Formats: sequence, C-alpha cells, structure tokens
Amino acid sequence: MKHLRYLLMAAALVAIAIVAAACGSSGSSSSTSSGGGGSDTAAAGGDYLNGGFAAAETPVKGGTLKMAMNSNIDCWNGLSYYGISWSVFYFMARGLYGYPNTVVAPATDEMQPELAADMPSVSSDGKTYTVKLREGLTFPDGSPVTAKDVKATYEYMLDPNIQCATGGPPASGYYSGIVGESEYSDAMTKSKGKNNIGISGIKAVDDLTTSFTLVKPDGSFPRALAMGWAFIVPASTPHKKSDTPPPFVGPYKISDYQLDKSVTIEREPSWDKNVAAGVPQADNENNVDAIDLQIGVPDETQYAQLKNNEIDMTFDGSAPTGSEVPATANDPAYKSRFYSTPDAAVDYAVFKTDVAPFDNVMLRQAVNYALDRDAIVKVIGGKLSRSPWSQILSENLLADQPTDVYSMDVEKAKQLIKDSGVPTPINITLANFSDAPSPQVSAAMKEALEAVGFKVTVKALSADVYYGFLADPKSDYNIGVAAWGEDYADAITYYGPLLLCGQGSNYGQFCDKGFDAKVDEINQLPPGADRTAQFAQLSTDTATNLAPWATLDLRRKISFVSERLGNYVWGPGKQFYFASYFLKDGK
Amino acid sequence: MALLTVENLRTTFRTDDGPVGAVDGVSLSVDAGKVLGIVGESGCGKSAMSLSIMGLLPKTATVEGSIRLGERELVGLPAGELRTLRGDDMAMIFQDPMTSLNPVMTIGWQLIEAVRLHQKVSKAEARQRAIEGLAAVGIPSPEDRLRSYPMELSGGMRQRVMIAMALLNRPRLLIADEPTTALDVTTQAQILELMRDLRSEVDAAIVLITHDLGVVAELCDEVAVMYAGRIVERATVDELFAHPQHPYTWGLLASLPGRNLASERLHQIPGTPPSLLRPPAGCRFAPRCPFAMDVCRADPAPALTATGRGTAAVACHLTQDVRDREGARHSGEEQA
Amino acid sequence: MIRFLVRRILGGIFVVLVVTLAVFVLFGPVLRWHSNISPARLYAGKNPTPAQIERVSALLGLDKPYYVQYAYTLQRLVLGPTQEERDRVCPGSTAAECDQLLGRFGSSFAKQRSVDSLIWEAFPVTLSLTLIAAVLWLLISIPIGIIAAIRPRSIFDRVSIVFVLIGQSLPVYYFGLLALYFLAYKYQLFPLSGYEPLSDPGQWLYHLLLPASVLALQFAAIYVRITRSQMLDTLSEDYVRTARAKGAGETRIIIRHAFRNAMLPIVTMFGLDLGLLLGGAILIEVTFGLQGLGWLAVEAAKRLDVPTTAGIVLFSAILIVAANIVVDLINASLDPRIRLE
Repeated sequence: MKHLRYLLMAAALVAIAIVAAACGSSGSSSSTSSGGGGSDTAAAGGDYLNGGFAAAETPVKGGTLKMAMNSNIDCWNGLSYYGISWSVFYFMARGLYGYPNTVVAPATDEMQPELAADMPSVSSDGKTYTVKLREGLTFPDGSPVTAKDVKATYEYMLDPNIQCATGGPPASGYYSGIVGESEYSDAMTKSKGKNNIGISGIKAVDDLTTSFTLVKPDGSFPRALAMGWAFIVPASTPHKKSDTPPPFVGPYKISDYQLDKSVTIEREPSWDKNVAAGVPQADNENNVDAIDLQIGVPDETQYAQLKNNEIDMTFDGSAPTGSEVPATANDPAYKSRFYSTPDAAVDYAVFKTDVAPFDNVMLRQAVNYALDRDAIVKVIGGKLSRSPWSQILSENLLADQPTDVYSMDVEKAKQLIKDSGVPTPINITLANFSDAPSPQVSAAMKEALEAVGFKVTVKALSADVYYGFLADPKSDYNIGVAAWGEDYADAITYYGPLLLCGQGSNYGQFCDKGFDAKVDEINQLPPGADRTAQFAQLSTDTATNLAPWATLDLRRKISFVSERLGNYVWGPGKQFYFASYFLKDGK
Repeated sequence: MALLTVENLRTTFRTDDGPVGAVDGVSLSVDAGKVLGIVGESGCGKSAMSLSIMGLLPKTATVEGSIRLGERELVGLPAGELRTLRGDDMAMIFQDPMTSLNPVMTIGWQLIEAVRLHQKVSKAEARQRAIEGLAAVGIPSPEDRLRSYPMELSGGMRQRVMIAMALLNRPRLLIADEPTTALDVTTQAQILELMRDLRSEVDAAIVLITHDLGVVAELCDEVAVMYAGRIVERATVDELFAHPQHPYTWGLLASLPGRNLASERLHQIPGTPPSLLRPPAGCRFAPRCPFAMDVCRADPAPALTATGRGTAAVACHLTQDVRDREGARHSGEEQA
Repeated sequence: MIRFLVRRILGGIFVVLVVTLAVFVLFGPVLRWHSNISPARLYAGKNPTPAQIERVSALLGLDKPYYVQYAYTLQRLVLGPTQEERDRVCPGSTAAECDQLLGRFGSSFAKQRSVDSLIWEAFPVTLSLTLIAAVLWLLISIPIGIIAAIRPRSIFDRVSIVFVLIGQSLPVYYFGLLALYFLAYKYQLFPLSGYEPLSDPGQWLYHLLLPASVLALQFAAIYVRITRSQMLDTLSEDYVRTARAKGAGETRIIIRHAFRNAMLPIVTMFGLDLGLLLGGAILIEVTFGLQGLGWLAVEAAKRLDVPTTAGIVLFSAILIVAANIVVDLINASLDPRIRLE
C-alpha cells in the first residue's frame, strides 16, 4: 500500500510536469510563431496610434527607468538570438554598424557606422568587405579598440561551445558565407574549444582595418555586421559560458545582475571618450541615468503596476491583452499612455503547393480572394492588435507597393475555381494551432472558403508539435497557418528561408525556378532604394501571380507605459528605443 | 438506605425520524455492597439507562425523572458537577476492552490520568496507586505494564485494566456494562471471578448490565429484567430463578445454554424487539408473547406489581396461577 | 525501528529510480516520437540547417542513444558530472565556474547555470511560501474543524461547511488574482509581486503573506473537512466515552484523547501535501511572481529546458519520498500500533 502511494505520488508529479510542459510550450511557441526574431525596418508611414518621433519632446535628463519582465532572457552576455534582448543591448553596446535611434523602422540603407569610421568598402568581385574602425575608441578599461578585437569578437561570437542557451551561435547562418567559418565551427566543436584555428576569412589588416572575405558575393552581408549581437568585445575575452556581458563599448553597462530577479543598468563612464571619438549620439539620446529591471513579474501584475505608475514600462509583458486592449486604449485615464505600433511580422496561410489541389495556382488565388481578412483580424483582437494584410512582405519592406494585393471578392474566387476546372466541392484540410484565438481564425477561414466551393476540415494541433507538423513534407494538410517575422529589414529574410526551393521553413514546398532566379538576382544588389524597390515589386508580383501563401494579417505591438515616461518609441527596428526615453520627473 | 435510586427514568433520543424513548419509566434502587443485575436483549434500553445514570448520553438525549446517588439528585445537575462525580463517586466498565482504552496512550498514562483527575496527588503517588490498582485486579508485574500500550495486552488483561481504572478512586457506584460479553469463555470466567472477589472488597453498589442470565446468577443479589425500555420483572436472583413470573423472563431462561438439553438446541424467543420509535400499545412484549391476550395489546400497559414473594414484582396481565404454573416450567429447579 | 527505516528508504530509492526513468522517457523518446519535438531543433535557433541541429545536439549531449543518456543521468546524479561533460559544457572555465554551470542534476539548456544551483536558489522561496502557508492553514483549519466536530449541525458547523465549499471550489489562480487586484493593486496593502529573502524577516513575511494566505485558504478548506470528519469519528470512539466516564473535562477529552488520535491521518496528509508543495506551488508562484520551484518548472517547460524540468521533477520526487518517510516516522512516534507492528 505504501509503495503504491509512492507510485501514485510519482505519477501525479509526472502528470504535473506534463501539464506544466503543455501549458508552457504554448507560451514559447508564441515567440517562435512570431518568428522569434526581431527586426529592423523601413517606416512605411505606419499609423502610430500614439508616440513616434513626430511627437518628440525635449527630454529631461536623469532618473531611473523602472521596468518589469515576466521571463528572463536567455542570457545577458550579449549573444542572445532573440529580438527582445537586442534592444537592451543596443542600449549598452555598439557594433561596427547600427541604425540611428531616430528612425522607428530603419531601412537597411539607413544603416550607419557606429564603431566603424565609414560604411564598408566592397572589393570589385563583391567578395571582400573592408571595415575601418574610428580612431581613439576605448574599452571600459581604457585599452584601445583594434582590428584584432574585431576579428576576435567574431570568433568569440561564433564559437559554438560557449553559446547562449537558445539559438546556437546567434543565427550563424548570417556568417556562414565567411570563408573559413564552417572549418572554424567544426574544429571548435570537435576539440571542445581547444583547437582555435580562427576564421581565415576575417583578417586584421592593420590596427584599425578588418577585412571579411566571403565565399560568394552577398549584398546583404553588411546587415550581419549590424545585428543585435555583433557587439565588439576585447580580444582578451575568454571563450567561456557566462551570463554577464563582457566589457562592451557602449553608453551603459550592467552594474548588478541577480539571476531571474533583477538587472541594474547604469551609465558607463568611458562612453564620453568614445562619443568624442565620433561614435554617433544625439543630444536627446541616452537620457536616463539607470534602468532597474525586475524579472519574473507576472503579466497581470505588470499591468496593475503600470496602471498605478509603479513601473514605467514592461519589457516582455503581454498585458493588456484581449478585451483589455480596446478598454485601455479608450479609457481616458490610460489613453495617452497606450500605443499600437505596426510590427514587422505577418501571419500567413501556407499552401502545400506540391500536392493537389493547391498545386493549381488558380485555386491559391481563389483562396486569397475568398478570405475575409477583416473578420480574421476581428477574432484575433481587432485592429489595434493586427492589420488585415495580403502582401508577402511586412509593411516596412514594401516601399511604394500597395498593401492590399487581394481584397475580398467572392465572385472572383468562384470564377477562378470554375476556370481551374477542379470539380467542387474541393476537399481540403486546414491546419492551425489549437490554442485561442486560432480556432476562431480557423472557423472564419472555413466559413469564407466554404462560401466559394471548398469543403474544409480543420486540424488543430498543439503549439509544441505544430511547426514540426508543418515542416514535415509527409504531413497531411493543404493549408497551414504560420507566422514569420523578419530578422532585419531586408526582404531576403522572407524570401530566403520561406520561399526558395527546398528551404527548411518553406513548409508548402513552394518551388519556382523563375522566382528563385529573380531573388538571387536582386540579392546581388547592394542595400538601397533600388534593392528595396525590386524586392517590394517581387512581393506584389509573387503574391499576385504565384500566390505561394495567403497572408492574413500584419502584427502590431501593443504598449502601455507610465505617465512619466516621455518619448516612448517602439519600432520593429530596435524594438524598444531606450536611447530616446526620458523620465518627465527626472527621478 | 439505597445508594442509587432511580425513579421513573425516561431517556429520549431525538432522531431525524422522531423521538425514541429508549428508557420509558424505569424505577430501581441498589444498596451499597449489593449487585443489581439488569437483563435484557440488546436494544432494550439497558445501556441507555446506565449512560443516563453516568450522564454520558449525547446531547440529542433528554433524561427525565430522578436519579439519586446517595442524597444527591443527578438529573439536572450541571455538567461540571456531574463530571467531578464521574470516575470518582461512580465509575463504569464498558463492554469492549479492545476499543475502550485509548490506543495511543500507555496504560500507565491512562491510569494516572484517572487518579489525578480527581485527587490532588503527585504523579509518583498516582503512579503508585495505579500499580496497586493493577495488582489488585491480578495483573502480573504491574510496574512493567504501566509502560505498555493497550495493543500489547490481551482482551482479558485490558478488561482487568478497565476494572482497575474504574476502581482506582474507590467509587460508591460501579456500573459494569456487559463486562464479559466481548471476551472468550475462559477469560469471561476469570473476569467474573475477579468481579466476585472484588465485590466484597470494594463495598460499592454495583449495577451489572448483561444479556446473560448466567452471569446474573453468578454475581448478582437482585435482578431487573428489561424489555423495550421498561422493567418487566424484578426480584432477587434466587426468586427469579425459582419463580420466574414474566413470559419474557421465561424466554430468557429457556435460551440459557445447558437449560434446554431436551431440544438439543438453544431456545430463541421468536420475533424481534419492537421499534422504540413507535412502540406497540399495551404490553410491549405482547407481539412476541405466546400467552398474549387482547387486554395485553391495549393500553394501559400492565404496571409493575408485587407478586407477594419478597420484593419481587412483575408487569403482566396473566393471572398469578398461570404465571406460577408456566414459571415453574422454566424455573431453575425444574430443569436442574 | 531501524528495519522499518531501512525498508522505507530502500522503497524511496526505488521510487526515485522509477521517477527518473519516467521523466527521462517522457522528456526524451516520448517527446521525440509522439510529438516530433527535439530540443536540439529548438535550441539550434531559427531556420537551422541539419548540420547546425546536429552540432547543437552534440553540445547538449543529445546525440547518444537514449539508454546511454539515461545511464549517464543516473551516474551523474550519484557521482557527479564526468570530466568529458565538464569539458563539453564549460570549456575554458575554471573548476569553480564550471560548478556553477554543471551539477549533479546537469546543466540547464536555457540558462547559463547548473540545474542544481537553479533549484537551490528557487527552493528557499518555495520553502518559505509553503511553511508560512502551512502554519496559516493549520492554525485556521484545525480549530475550525474541531469546533465544527464538537458542535455538529450548529450554525458554526454549517458556516464551516460553506467555507470548505468555497475554499475548495475557488480555483487558486482565480482567487489569487482577486486577492492581488483588491489587496495589492486597489488598496495596496500588500506588494504586487516578488520575494524578499529571510535576511529581512519583516519584508520576507510582508511579501509572502498574501500568496501564502491564498494557498493556505485552499488547503485550510481541505483540512477543516478532514479535521472535522476525523474528530467526529474519534469523538464517537469507545475510549473517548471511557475518558468521559473517568471524569475528564471536555477540553481534555477533545485535545488529549480525541485530537491526539484524529491527528494521525491529518499528519499523514499534511506530510504529503507539504512534500508536494515543496516541489513547487506552480499556480501561486506564477500568479504572485515568486521565483520558486514551481515558477522555475514553468519557465523550464516553456523553453523545453529538459534538464531543468527533469531536475525539478526529480527533486520534488525526492522531497515527496522524504516527506513520506518523515510522515511514517512521525506517525510511528505518535501511534504505537504502527511502531510495534
């Protein structure tokens, strides 16, 4: 009897663990489903409900910004892959390149030199990028920043042994084009860090000059030098796992870190010298003296604290959510502190293009016409949370392309189905997440599709298994709802992983040689208006002619901050623009 | 002078179905040094009566009438005063020694508690008395037993402990409620012998409640036969066995083992005792009585009336002749 | 007594073994086969190549066959991590730094810490919460349960039954949110969130009182019920009647005779509840932002941090088994029937 009791207790425990795992994973998937990545981007005249630089006030200097977060970020050493952490590292660290703090969603061509003295020079074969550091830069201990440090930084960053828990080497894919990167990774993996052969493609040419040699030309490579983890650290930084940052070149530093409890960020005294050396900093930037971040504060608590002005902002909190969103946005007491800002991520319904019936492009177009995106946005939480969307790319990448390539047109959809010659009703399976509000989205889609001649079976899957299911070519579905967010403001971050033949995240097995060739061609172009415009045109053309998926909505970021927080800006670029924030009472 | 006098005792339990008159107008008395046996089937009100005397009934019960211990009226006595009498002036031994001792306390703890609840003596003194008490009931090496838990003792030993505990404070009244029923036959005999021995030593009035006339024969001076909450016959032991007067008593006598060898099986009184929730009118034994007459089934019930032989009394409508004749058939003399 | 103890401990070790196996199978093969989830796939980042997944798999030690992984998990639990794993998990670190990264429960996938250190940091929070809650619920429930039992059907008893119903049917997170809203947010009597270590006892209690009370209320309801029914049972026992016949006062009868016996099942249940709660009061900890084991478990499960999740489950299993043994010992000391059997 006793033993049985133990066993029952054990079983109960395991059950609890499973329940916890099940509940937990749906949480994690929301970050995965949003693409996990952060972004970076061109403002396409987004409708900011509040804030934005248009409303910029002259900041008060000083004070401690109080911030709360629910779950700690993976690691505070700067090697984090997830966008949420980049914003705070942008506040503390500088890489060779970055984006101005004055642009909410900077386009790639708005990239600016930070520690680098100028934009990189490219060799005539397009394979070698040369970067020159500013003169007179110093690390916090006063030692100069040299090209050796730059080379060592990238080797530190790409050492697979010491990576921040999640994400492996921060998207090492960005750097796999560097000559010698894969040899370096292999050697370091096999020797457990003992055989540091270095990356042969990165060379310290002289004290200030570093060259990056690529296997083949890649116009987007400079973006990789501006990513939210590519911060320069001293060459002496040991290759070991750590949860605290190495000494960065930056305006602020972490002065105290209690695991999962709190982070205190204060001004870095050496910063002024670096500003004097030319690192960009506007007068209205870097206003607060410190940030006090409390970790592990539940969303509801954060929401209550925000209402009471006990904290200034939430770092990762999702409150307000659901019906609280419009309630907060319309409450006179809170209205002025509420923001809804377009994000650079889309939800889309991918077609399995390798099997019938959606190997037929007319049917894919028909679905695009049939869907009622307004109804879908409504069930997800209204237009404060989402915008109806039918382009491939998110708003910031579209240049002057129209945002609505498809608008609901039932007759057109029916006509396309008729023209396709496929007999109705057409039986299809729709895959989607099983947690709210996905079932309602599925229902709205089903209703719209059945109105034009499809017969829809909905398949709801738990978030833990969902992407595994979508990615498996053998999985039995015809349309699957997915989400994607860009890593930086360049269309290649959509086209590359999602639509080129044979890519891992190309769930629908979409493969069009002409499209691939076009992407490859435009990708040779350097960043700039031309590249952006051509990729944007490709988005319209692809959505219209090939319809590899049906985009449903563009995500929006909901923010709710304290009364005293001035110049609050959120944008898909750096996410939180901490540098511009100030505290009206200066405390 | 009677030590315990009970007059017209009525004990009623409140139940969801209505009041149950467990004891319905019982009067009796016991002298110091005497043993009164109360006999009847289970459910006849014997225990309710003894608990009424001890004041141990639950709150759902009401007690009316009079119970006097010496000069003192117990009915209506405040709970606190009644408590000081319990275990001191009057003590009780229960039926099941297996469950009547606290299983998680040592024998010593329970005995010492009994002493110190009523007497301001030191622990050591109380302990000494406990040892003496155990010795008096024939428990070997009593000092060691103080450290024992009830589960370590046999049923007979436990009942000895219960008896010792009851006698610790030299009570004037001892109520023994089926003290041997739960024990095996050999142990029963030992406990009965112990009680007989103690009887002369303690000089208390003893009320012995039993369903077993055999036990009565061995221990008692007087006996009252109860049926369905009432006393139907009262007599000295000798008189009861010599001239049993009530048909119910005849039934009880007939069911004594060894008394009815001719039929080679134990006699059973047919039927079951009536529900006390709605007792039958008239004589309550009438539904089971082979001699019942119309008058028996109508109110008023026959009153307890003297038979003319000593103190004996019976509550029955049968004529004296019939009772004597039938009684003789069931008497101890005839069958012996 | 010694044999009793040895038997219990051996049984406990067996249970812990079974739990480790169950945890291992659930978080390893079952996740893989049933749901096509591989932690390596998750930890390889966004849109990883097969080579990247393989590399992460090797780094996390997931590239070996399951039985080897399991055997090693057990070996590490008993003997500590091997040099091979230390080299793999913490290259370039000193031994002391590596101890922070890797312990007997392994190394967290999601944080740059050993599972052991995460557990030992979270445990005081859970322990404090549980102990305060336990003191509160016993203080509330036992007197109420006893009074309800000695006055059955009284107004008090009926009110206590309503209390039991409310306490048991209000979900703790809902009640917790209500308490947070009114007591912490609206009237600001308590802090909204967080934990303060015992080094400042006043703050410690101030931060834990609200969550502990919410937790206690739920358990108090259960304990009122069990105390009441146990007391009703023991009060009708023969030995209680004997005690009355001895002339013992009501208080003495209730405390020394009836409750002493009624305590036994309550102690058993209390020990098990304590063991379970020490493994993490998930809902309360998450609602009130207390970073105890429950919170840690949710955090770990969210990120498919297998070693941390498994470590917490194992740690909880050890606690529950230990609680069982302690309960058995306490029961044996309270009840000679168990001790002497």
